[in-house]
This record gives sequence, structure tokens and C-alpha cells, in this order.
Amino acid sequence: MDLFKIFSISGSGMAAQRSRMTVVAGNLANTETSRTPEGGPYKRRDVIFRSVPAAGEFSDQLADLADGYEVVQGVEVVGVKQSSRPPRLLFDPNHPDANADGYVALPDINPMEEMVDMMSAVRSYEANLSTYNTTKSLIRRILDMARNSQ
Amino acid sequence: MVGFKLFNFTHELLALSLRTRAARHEVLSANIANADTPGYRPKDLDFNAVMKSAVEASANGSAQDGNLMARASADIESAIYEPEYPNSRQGEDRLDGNAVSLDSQMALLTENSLGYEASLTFLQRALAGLRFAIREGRG
Amino acid sequence: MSIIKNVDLVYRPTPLVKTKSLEEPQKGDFNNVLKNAMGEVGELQEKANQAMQQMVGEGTGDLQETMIALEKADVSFRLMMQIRNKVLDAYQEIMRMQV
Repeated sequence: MDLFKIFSISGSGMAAQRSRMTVVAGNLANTETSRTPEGGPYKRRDVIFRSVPAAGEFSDQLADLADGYEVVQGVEVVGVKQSSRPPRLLFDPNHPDANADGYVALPDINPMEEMVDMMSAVRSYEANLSTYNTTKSLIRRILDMARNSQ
Repeated sequence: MVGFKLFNFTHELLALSLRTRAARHEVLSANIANADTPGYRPKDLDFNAVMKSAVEASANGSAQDGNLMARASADIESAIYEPEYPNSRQGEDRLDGNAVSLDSQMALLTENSLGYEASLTFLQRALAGLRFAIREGRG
Repeated sequence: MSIIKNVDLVYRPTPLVKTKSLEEPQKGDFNNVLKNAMGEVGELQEKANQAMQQMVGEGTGDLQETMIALEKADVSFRLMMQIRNKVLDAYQEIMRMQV
């Protein structure tokens, strides 16, 4: 068991969930954004997760293969994808961004959906944190054992 | 060779159990980290299989105590598998193909951690006993 | 003649164990035991050192294995020290004996 590797697995999980939380928070903040620098309303964003081989030492990829546990994987956010859902149209001719027919294009973001996503992200984050702490306490136990030998 | 045998099969077995528990901890941590990765199926490590094969190897004499740990890496790695029904209930897979249930994984992790601490405690006691014997019970 | 032979047996019984003369030390005598023991202790110390070096210097290696190696080296070393103490005690005891 490479110490660094176990922490990096849980750490990668926490980092990935944090990214997810950030993206969801962005969605929630922009539910009414009808104008973006790219033109058009804000598009809902979503993180893309992918599992990656857990990192031990950077130079130790070869050693990992020798160790044999390369099946064990951490996780990484490889990108953020924008939703291709069509915007929802709201009839409001007085809105500065209304089009010729008086419709405003608003992001198709459902706050309920985003809240559920956020809760799931928080829960996953906490699970990874708990794993991280468990790892720490197991290692402390070994060290205590070596320290207390009398 | 004339020598004294301080460390016997019990100690080797405890050492092997520690190593196996640690490996399983790694596997379960990876499941939790990948709780939201599309298409990811959780893995597990068959702890009992590893210990059983060690006991058998010792019983039929195919492994000397020193060799118990030498075979460990191979035994442990071959014990990693993908359970067919990871959550003991069918149909739990999500739309994106991910099959990790955080509750199940946390429960497995807890069970494994307790097993780890148990092995560690036994080993500690065994070594303390040896030291006590060497001191002949005196301070 | 057989009676004399039997009397002989009574006064000089055959020993149960064949003792060798002092010029021929036995194969498994205490000297060798001690030497082998010290060799094993040295090996265990070496293994423990290597495990620690790997852990601290290169950052790889198994924490459990390192700890177990340390414990093994420690216990076997203590045993050897205790044996040494016993041997010394026995030697001093013998030296104190009045001839």
C-alpha cells in the first residue's frame, strides 16, 4: 500500500466533487441570465467525470505497474460540457433581450434539479472525506503501535 | 541450521491479513472516489479467499513461513473482482451506467477498517507477549 | 568369569549418553547457537533498516511491512541481549566458585 496513493484517491474524489459543486452553484446563480459574452442565454453546465489510475509518486507509474494495483482508480474532471437543451422562451416584450417576437431566451435550468445535484455532490464529498479520515486513523494506529513498544 | 524460532505462522498470518486489509481499503476508497463516474462498476477484494489460500498453502506445506508474504502480492491482486450485484439489489444502476452505492461502500469500508484494527491489535498483543517473556516478567 | 563381568557392570555402568572428549566440540554446541542467532538478528536489523530507508528516502514501501520488520528486529534483538546477559551471569557465577 503506497501511502500517497490512498490519500490521492480520496483527495481526487473530494476535488472532483468540489468542481461539481462549483459548476452547480454557477447554474443556480445563472437561472435568469439571458445574456452572455458568447451571445445568447446562459447554457447549463455539467461536469464530466472519468476514472484515472491513482497517482503514487509521479515517477512511480512504472512502480505502480510492478506493484500490481493499477486497477485501483481515482477520479478526475476532464471537462465541463454545456447543455444542448434549447433555451426556454418567455414572453416579455419589455425585456431588453427580447427578440423580434417579444420572447426572451432564458436558460433551461430547473432549480430543483440543481439542488438535488448539489446535495448529491455534497454527500459524495463527505463520503470521500470520511474515507480520507479513516485512512489517516488507520495509519496513526500503526505508528502508535510502533511507538508504544516497550 | 540451529536457530530459534521467535516468529511463527501466526505472526505471518497476521502480517498477511494486514496487507490484504490495506489493499481492500484501497479498492473501496477508489469506489467511493468514483461514485459519480459514468459507467463505473464498483470492485471488491475477496479477503477470505486470500487468507484461506494462505492457510491451505501452509497446511499442505507448499509455503514456508517466509514465502507466505512472497506469494501475497499475486494472491491479493487475483482476489480483486467486480461483484455482479454490488448493492445486493438488482436494478440499482443509474442511467449513466454507474453502479456505486455510497451506503454499501461505506458499510464495507467500516467492516474492513474494523478487521484491520483487529489484526493490528492481535499482532501488538503477540509481540508484547514475546517481549514480556524475554524480560521474564520483570520490568 | 561372567560373575566378575556382571560385578563390573554394577560398579561401572554404561553411560546412557555417549560423551565425547573435550577436544571434540559438538556440532550443535552453544557457540554455534549464539553465532547463528546473532546472524539472524543482524539480518532482521538489516531488513528493518532497508524498509525504513525506502519509506523515508524514496517514499515508497508498505507501512505495515516496515513496522512489522521493525518489531521483529526489536524483539529478536532483545532476546539476544537477554541471552547475552544470561551467559555473562553464568560466567560470573562460575568464576565466583571457589576451587
